[in-house]
Amino acid sequence: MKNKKKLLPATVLAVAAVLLLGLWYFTRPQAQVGDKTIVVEVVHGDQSAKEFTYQTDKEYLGQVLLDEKLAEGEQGQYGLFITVVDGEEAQADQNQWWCVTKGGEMVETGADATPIADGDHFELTLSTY
Amino acid sequence: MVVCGLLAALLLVLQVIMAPLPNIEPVSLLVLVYTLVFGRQVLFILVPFIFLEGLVYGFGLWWFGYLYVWPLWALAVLLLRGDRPPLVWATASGAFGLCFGALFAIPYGITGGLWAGVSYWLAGIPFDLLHCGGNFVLALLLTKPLCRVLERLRDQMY
Repeated sequence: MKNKKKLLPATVLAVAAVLLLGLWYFTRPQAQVGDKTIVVEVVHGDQSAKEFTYQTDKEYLGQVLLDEKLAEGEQGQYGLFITVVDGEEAQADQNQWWCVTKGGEMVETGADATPIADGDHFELTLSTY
Repeated sequence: MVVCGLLAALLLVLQVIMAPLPNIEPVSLLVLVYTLVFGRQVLFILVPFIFLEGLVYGFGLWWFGYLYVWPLWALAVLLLRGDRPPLVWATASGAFGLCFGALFAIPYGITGGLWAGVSYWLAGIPFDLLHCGGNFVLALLLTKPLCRVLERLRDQMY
């Protein structure tokens, strides 16, 4: 009985972890299967903008950007870290980075974990922090 | 003060070295050990450490989270302080790791609205789970040995 009492906090922690995993699983953005048309707008450092329209059956933004060779990046601990877009490289020594937004809103996941749906409009903007 | 600076630098160096492992970090363990050995003086280690984090990674919105996350953890350890088995510290450290994302989401919720904070937290849950597991294992294995070593060093110095 004493041993069970000692293990109770660790057991509660394990249960909480499982519940959180379930919460994440059922609330995560769902990828859309099938053909989709998306628009990717690139805003360069000189504020010039270009739009690229893609028809794809990929499920995540990162896959599209890499397959279409619009972007290059490194696989980091949180997934794809975009370093080059449309030939322009973000200069780390100038605190530059490629900001990914969808319909003007920040996305909460990396590009390779951002699902895409038909009609989505993404923006890749060279930003400074 | 020199010792506090040294221990703060050690925190930063180990954090940077383990940065490639997502949310597996020795900082939670060391803050736990420092607090157990030095008590409230741990604040003199945390303040320079938090400042150093800003210098290395930049003073972005995320940095404001560190201003309260590490002191909160130290406070939790101070409240639990006592002769407790490693499993207790492992559970506490694991729980801290599980809550890390929620605590960090607060500035995002303040600046972007409640749902921005909630979505930030939800998206980071897998990393919180890693953080929980990493903290649990490290604390279970290393709390007592590290405390013994640090206490011996402390007693030799003072």
